[in-house]
Amino acid sequence: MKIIFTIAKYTAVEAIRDNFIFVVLALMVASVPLGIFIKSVTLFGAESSYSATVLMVLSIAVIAISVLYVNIATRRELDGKIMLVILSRPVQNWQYLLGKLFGFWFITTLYCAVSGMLLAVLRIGSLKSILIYVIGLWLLQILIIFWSLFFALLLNSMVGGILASLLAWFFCTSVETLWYLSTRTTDNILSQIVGNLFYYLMPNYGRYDFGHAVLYDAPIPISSIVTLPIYTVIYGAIVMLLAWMDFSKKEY
Amino acid sequence: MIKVENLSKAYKKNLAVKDVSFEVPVGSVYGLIGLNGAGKTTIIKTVTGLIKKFSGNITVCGIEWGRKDYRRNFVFLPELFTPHHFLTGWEYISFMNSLHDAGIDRDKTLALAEKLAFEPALLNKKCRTYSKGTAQKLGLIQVLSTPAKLLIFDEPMSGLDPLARAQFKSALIEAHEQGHTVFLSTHILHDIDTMCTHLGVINKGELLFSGTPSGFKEKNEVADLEKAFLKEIAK
Repeated sequence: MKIIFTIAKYTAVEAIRDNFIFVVLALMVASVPLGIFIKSVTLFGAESSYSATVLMVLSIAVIAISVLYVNIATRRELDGKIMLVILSRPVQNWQYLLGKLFGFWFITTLYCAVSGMLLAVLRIGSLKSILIYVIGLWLLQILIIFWSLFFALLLNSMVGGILASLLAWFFCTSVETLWYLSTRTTDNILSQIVGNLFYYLMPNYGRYDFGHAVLYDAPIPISSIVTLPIYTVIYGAIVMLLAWMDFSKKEY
Repeated sequence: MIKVENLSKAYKKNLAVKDVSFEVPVGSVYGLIGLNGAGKTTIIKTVTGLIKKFSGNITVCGIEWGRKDYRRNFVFLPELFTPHHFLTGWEYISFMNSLHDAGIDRDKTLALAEKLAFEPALLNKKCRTYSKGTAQKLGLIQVLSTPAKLLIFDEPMSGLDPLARAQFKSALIEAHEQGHTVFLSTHILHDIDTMCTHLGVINKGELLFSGTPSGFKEKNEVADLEKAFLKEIAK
């Protein structure tokens, strides 16, 4: 446990000292003038356009930290041979992965908290809906960080890792749409099989999006909130297992 | 201290290390020497657990490769490594030592820094400001400040200027005198001559000799290590 905490601590310190944290915070603050601009040029539904823009930019900022920073930091550790030094010490692969997860997760926790505060200050949505939205975004980070770690360790290029992580994010966000397109709009058996496999195997990031509750104060079934941590633990364990298997076989 | 038996390692179809067996005795300075691409780094990385697919047996301090405590008894420093750029020297040492469940002994660290002509004030500065030689010296200070008695280096003096090389070597010799066992790879014969009690000569993945430098010279019937090496690899 001590080793996991140590790795997590230094992972978080790296993000803070790299000033990356401030770039993302600046992006978050920039969501407000961008929202005001969108509001000013929208003819109908100006208020909801403003809220939707702020919400979208805040989500992208949090996802960006996970995908970009995990890939950049991991690659840097590998290229500087510091990962070789760490892995030759009495550190188990799973300890390293969990340490990294908790370090990056701590940073995204800060961003989620800032996002929530910003939404509350701007009075976008009720406090209850904001809280649920932030918890969803926060839990989603576990899966995004693990996927990013998986690709950062699997692929031998930083750009490849970032692209693969973004693609994974895109597919997991579009699971329901892709399923609908592949099973309801065509009679092709292969397309239906692929669509169904994808739907049942891939994590559905749409479950974590409570933006509609913030924007329209739509009711959220209790079951979807209660089951979310369980869903995260199950899929988190699967992606962690994939990352661990990839990492255990990798020779540096 | 290290026992390697019938080690072979292939990268796809290319056999990088072929049936290598040798032993690093306790209290020795064992230098693995060979040309570039001879297989030195592959052997070092396999011993340190960074290479996972190989055939053969490896034990360190009697513990078999892959066992939970295997990596507890040694510390490894690769060539041209870059410490975490965002940490200070003190923080780097503290971080690495905590992975060994060890604290930081400030007096011992400062004494080590002094021996290596490492300006103590630099320990308070971020590693991103360090030169290549300074970073390598920090790596050595950290390695020597852990409780591990076996030190493993891959080309530790690569890229260092002559003064830094001399300081690095004298620190290693002193560590040896204080009871550390050192296992290192190099392609510089002079390092072997001045530091090593034992050597292993490797060429194209095959271990041609393992023993003492004097034994190696005797085997090749020459008084000079360089000539002995050239004669050996020409066979």
